[in-house]
Amino acid sequence: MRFFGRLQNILDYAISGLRRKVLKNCAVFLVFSVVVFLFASFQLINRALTELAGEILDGAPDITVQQLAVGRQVSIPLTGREAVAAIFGVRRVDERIWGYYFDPATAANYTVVGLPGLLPGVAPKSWAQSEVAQLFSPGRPGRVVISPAVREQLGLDQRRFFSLYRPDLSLASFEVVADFFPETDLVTADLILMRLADARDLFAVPDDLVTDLLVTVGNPLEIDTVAEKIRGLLPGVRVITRQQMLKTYEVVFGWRSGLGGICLLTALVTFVILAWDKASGLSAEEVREVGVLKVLGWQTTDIIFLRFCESAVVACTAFACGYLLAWLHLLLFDGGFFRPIFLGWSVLRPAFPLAPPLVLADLLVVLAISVLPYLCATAVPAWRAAVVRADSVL
Amino acid sequence: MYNRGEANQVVALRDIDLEVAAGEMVCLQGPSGSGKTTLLSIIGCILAPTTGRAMLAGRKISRLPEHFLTLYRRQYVGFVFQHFVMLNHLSVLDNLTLPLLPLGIAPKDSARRADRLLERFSLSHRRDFPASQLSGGELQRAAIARALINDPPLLVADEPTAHLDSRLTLIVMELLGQLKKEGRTLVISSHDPLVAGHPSIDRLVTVHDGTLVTAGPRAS
Repeated sequence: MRFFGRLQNILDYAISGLRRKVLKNCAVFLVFSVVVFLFASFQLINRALTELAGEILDGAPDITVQQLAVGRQVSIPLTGREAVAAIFGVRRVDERIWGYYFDPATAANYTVVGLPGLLPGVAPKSWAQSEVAQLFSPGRPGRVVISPAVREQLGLDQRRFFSLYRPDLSLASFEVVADFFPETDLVTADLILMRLADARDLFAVPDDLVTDLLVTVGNPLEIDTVAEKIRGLLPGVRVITRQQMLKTYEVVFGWRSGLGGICLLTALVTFVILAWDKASGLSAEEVREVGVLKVLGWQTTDIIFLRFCESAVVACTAFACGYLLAWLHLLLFDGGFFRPIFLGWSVLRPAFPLAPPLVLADLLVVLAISVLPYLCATAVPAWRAAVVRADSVL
Repeated sequence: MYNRGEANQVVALRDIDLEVAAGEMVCLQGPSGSGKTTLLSIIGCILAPTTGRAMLAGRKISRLPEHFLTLYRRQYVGFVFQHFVMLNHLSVLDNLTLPLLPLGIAPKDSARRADRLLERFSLSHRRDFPASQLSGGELQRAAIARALINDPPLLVADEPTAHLDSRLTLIVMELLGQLKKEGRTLVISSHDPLVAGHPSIDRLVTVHDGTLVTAGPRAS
């Protein structure tokens, strides 16, 4: 009981000491909070983006098959479709046309996707229950679903009709029937979704060609096996599983996060050096205070604990503040400061909201790379202060 | 001995043979630099002698590591310093309770103890004042109160009246005399004839150049 009372008393004394040196400690607190804010923001955005990509790709095809020629993607003949469909375990094979349309007027590069319908494994499940489904209801051709960002780039405002050029420079006219939900902006920011026939018409793709074959596999455990069989069956094709796509997102965001992390590490090292400098530069007043405490019966360990408490209070409060700010920055401002780093500086910027995840392991990682170095940096100066001799005040 | 084995080695005390009985009040006299403070520091468990033997309450303290010396100091000794040694930014109450913090005593209990001493030394009205706002006499009374916060059987006072006028000196000596009557042992150093001649003093000890010149019963 006395032991905890002692800790409590010394902690109280440390806090009152921090209040006395309020300016100095506020400066350290502010810098520390900013460092933690930066680290935590990178980590939270990376985590949120990866999770979001995972959710969105949940509706992506199990396997995408593309034809390669001299290492580049070309259209794949539909003749391979029957062969793939005949593989044991394949439930369905669908066609897709996926291309890019550069608009010189706005310098925007749109992704144009033509689908046969909103079937599971072809498009995200949520689309089938949304306004996107209107696209595939019976009716006249030339209907599209676009993102709010594409709407803005095309300067449509509330209008529904626009035109794009075919390769022969004739105009193809389109009617916007719905907008994508902003939540899916990570993958739909630059997307113009249309029916397969309309995409074929826009890009002048012959009837016996598509850009991708989308394969749905009955048993998810067999996806890799089926992918392997397709590779053997259709030489020269690229076979991409959903897991590989998710991995690509993780690698891209992880790389950007790592790059930012390296820059921030430099900031952290600088901060730790400053912390060391601050903690080791004991003023005459501080030396006297330690001497008084020691002559009054404080042990060296009490003084070390006192210094540790001072550092820990500053570091932990700054950590909590920095992490909370990073979380709120993501929650309220969608990580606006760091979005360009993660999502690129494209004309069409994804505007989806990010759900800030709270993962204990992530929190501990930031704690370990920010609070621990600070505490270590102040440990030696604390010891040096604590070995001041009791008779120094006599 | 300070700075032992170095070029600036100083032998502060030599051939000291002094025994203080429980309940006795001893006054150390001697010029500045004669070694009084060093002797008090050894008696008060602040310093350990480099050679020789020092005993406190029947225990040998001369070879104790710093940690145990501090434990003894907490338990047995209250120290009153020549320059008061207060932390000026803290209140009088906080200064008094400083020695209790590492003992794990609850703040309420510490404050209760301190309040009793402040009342005894007529400092209650200064309880929450910063130490920097106290007068010399008040500071010295606060310093004595702080030395008593652990209720130690031995009180060591280094020039406790050095910065006080004769009226305040007599007040402080009265207070110290009361402590003696309570059964505490007191060892005081002073140049002041008012201290040396105070009726509470049982024995005068003269220190000169680090050695005891006289150590015997006070001449009446």
